[in-house]
Amino acid sequence: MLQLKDLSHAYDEAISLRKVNLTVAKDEILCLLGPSGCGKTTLLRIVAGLISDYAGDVLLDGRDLRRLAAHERGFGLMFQDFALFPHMSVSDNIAYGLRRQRMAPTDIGARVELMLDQVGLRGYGERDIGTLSGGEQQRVALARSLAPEPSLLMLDEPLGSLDALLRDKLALELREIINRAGLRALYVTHDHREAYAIADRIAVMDKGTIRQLDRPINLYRHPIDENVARFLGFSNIFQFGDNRFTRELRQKFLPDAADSDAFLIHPDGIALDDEGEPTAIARRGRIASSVFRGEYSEVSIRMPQEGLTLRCKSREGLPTVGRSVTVSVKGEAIRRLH
Amino acid sequence: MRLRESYWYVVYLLPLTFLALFYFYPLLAILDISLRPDGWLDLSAFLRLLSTDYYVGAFLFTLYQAALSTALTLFLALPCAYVFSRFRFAGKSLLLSLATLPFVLPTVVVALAFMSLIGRRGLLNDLLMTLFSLDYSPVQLERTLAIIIIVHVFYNFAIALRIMTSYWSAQGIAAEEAARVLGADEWSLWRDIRLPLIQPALLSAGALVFMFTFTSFGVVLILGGIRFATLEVQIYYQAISLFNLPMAAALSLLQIVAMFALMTAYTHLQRGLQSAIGSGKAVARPVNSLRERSLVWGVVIFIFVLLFAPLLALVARSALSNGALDISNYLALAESSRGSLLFIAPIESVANSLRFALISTGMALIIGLIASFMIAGRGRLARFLDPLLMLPLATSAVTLGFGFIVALDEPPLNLRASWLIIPISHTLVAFPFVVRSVLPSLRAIPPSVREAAQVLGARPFDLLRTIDLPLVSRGIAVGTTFAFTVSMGEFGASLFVAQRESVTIPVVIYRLIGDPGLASYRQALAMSVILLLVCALGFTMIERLRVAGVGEF
Repeated sequence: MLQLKDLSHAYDEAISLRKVNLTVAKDEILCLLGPSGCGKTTLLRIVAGLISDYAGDVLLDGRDLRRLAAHERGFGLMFQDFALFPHMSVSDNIAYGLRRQRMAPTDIGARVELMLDQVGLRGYGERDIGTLSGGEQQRVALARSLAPEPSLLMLDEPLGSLDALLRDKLALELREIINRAGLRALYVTHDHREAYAIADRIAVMDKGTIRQLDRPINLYRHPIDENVARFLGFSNIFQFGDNRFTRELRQKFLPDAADSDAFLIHPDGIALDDEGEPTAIARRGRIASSVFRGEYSEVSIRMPQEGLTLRCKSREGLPTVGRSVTVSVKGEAIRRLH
Repeated sequence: MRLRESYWYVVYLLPLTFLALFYFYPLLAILDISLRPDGWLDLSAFLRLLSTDYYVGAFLFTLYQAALSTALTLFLALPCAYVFSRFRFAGKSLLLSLATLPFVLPTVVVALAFMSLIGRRGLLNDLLMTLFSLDYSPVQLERTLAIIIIVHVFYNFAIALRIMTSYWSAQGIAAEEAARVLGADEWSLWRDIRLPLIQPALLSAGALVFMFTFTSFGVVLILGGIRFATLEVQIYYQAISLFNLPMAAALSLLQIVAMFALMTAYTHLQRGLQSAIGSGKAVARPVNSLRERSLVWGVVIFIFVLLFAPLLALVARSALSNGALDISNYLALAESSRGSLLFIAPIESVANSLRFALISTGMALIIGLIASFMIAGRGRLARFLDPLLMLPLATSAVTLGFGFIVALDEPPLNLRASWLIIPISHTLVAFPFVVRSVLPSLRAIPPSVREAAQVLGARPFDLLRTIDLPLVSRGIAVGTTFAFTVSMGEFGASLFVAQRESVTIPVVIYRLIGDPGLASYRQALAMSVILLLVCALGFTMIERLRVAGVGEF
């Protein structure tokens, strides 16, 4: 079990972590999700032993890691730029950690072959790093950090420098490989879609603190506050006192909320051209914009009388701008934010 | 971890100790001897320096010849840089790299090469005398300002050419094309666009050339004589010929102050150069008119003549007599001529030079490598150390040599009689070259690569062995070669510190030139060719390695 207790850190004057507490269980992939500068990479580097001037404790199975240098920890770290050794072949890169452990050369050879196999690069051993594509480099970097069987694998935006198509494909593979290796992993990303796909649990970070820690599905359903909701890509965030419509939503679904309470209308609970369940509140509005995204279209509906614009998804092709529609909002779509 | 790191600080002390003992201590000795020649504060040497027309004249002449050399170098390099940055032609990169050959050539060799070409007994005079049946030498350039300036152009042309070419190439031609579309003719293009745009590179190159020519010693000493004495030559005369140590020290001090001022100006100008370079795409295009073709040919021929005419003249003069191969000059090197100032046969100095060069290279490598790692580190220490460790580069070799003989001739450090003083002085001159060659590749290693190795279990020593050293190996090779050629050709400091039996090739050449008689002169030619070959070999190795883009020079 990896435990972080009251972890704090500052770069000169700028505070990067404020009393962070976090536990990573065995066999768990935990994502640190947040905007750049939220402290997620700093946290990773402290755990890796690359930053030593922190306050608080980092414990692995109860053992304090403070006095252990990076090279003594036996962790794996995959860098955003992969940080492959440019002067070594693919095999030598993967074997690097094994050689540091003074593993016997024949065992190293076998282990390297196994790793190449696992990441789908069989026969690439003698290739020069410079001749690899971005995706291939990513696989070598993964194989290199997995080869010494680290007790904790850390990944710092490992898909960040790849193009979108490759990213989706590799995210799944990554999860599979990590799970197969039965590893505990800390995964840093700023992309919530990537985090959803890979994580067992997600810690959303902002300004050096963890704002919310939960399983992906719970995070998606119940973002805890406005910042987290916006970072996860939600719009439709209002205050109950904003206008007649929001007040009506409160009256019906959350009567004890205050005017100043913020809330989210979750897009999953919004339906178009559908009176919906009898409990839903329905309104007329006009399509203000409509963006085709493939499997769905992103639609915003203007309700002039309420002075409010709602965004939702439509799976019925591309709704015409200006068309009049009925919008219904279900009770469970209303999420109070803190 | 803290404890283990402290080992490194012990290693770090090595370059600092070296610098303290062999740079700052001699400099302080100079300061001491100029301000307190007899143990108490006595400014008379300074007052004499400032009130005597002779010394003021020497200072003004130093400035004057440097300004003249700089102006002529820039004037000749500008059109060549234009051609290099605008046109693509066969052999361009080879020519650009060949043009930097003078950088590694010792001053004594170059001085002799130009004497062989345009001196009183030079090829040009021979040619003119045969052609026009003259019985006197029509070209009288020896011991004139003109020949000094010409040699300075030879030395600095490539530096100016490189700086301006890369700057112009990086800038692109967008502004020029815009001006053309707006109706600018060729003349306005030069006046309004090209010259204003190249100005930062012109200033930066100018400052560098001025700095080099301001401290020119060997060339002026050999080709100019006492009539055209720069500060450097004056220091040498005052110290060695007149034994007026306080005056030599006062002149050295003036020299140091002037050099630091120039160095500061150059660093400042260079910073502006770096920030101004844009990301223009390659602008060179093939030549497509007769006018452009003749322009390119003109530049190519000019550079070839400037570079190779003097070197070929030197080789020809040393190995040809009456049009036939004659190696008697080389055979004569094994003889110690009577009546000479030399105490050994000239050829023995080759063994000396090689021995000293090997030792200096080793020391320069150790000190330079450690210094590079110190400077490449982050933090305040590194930022403070970078200029500190580069100070020897901004100090003239003559000042260093003079500092050595006034500081290291008495306990606690008495090295005056030891041959060790020569490799030590060469190390001081050579190790900044190691630093400048290694540092760029060291800085180019992404921090994440070292961190990746650390996380994978690399201890500090593993990191050095498996990551740092392999990644900077080319830089180390370049630095090693530089250190070796610099040591082989070092003249200014060696002239001060070399003793009878421990003279090096350049010192021997200088003594041979000074000897009366044609035999010594011919021996000097042969020695110069040997040295030329060693340096040309070093140069070839450097250029081979530099194909991968290593080093700052």
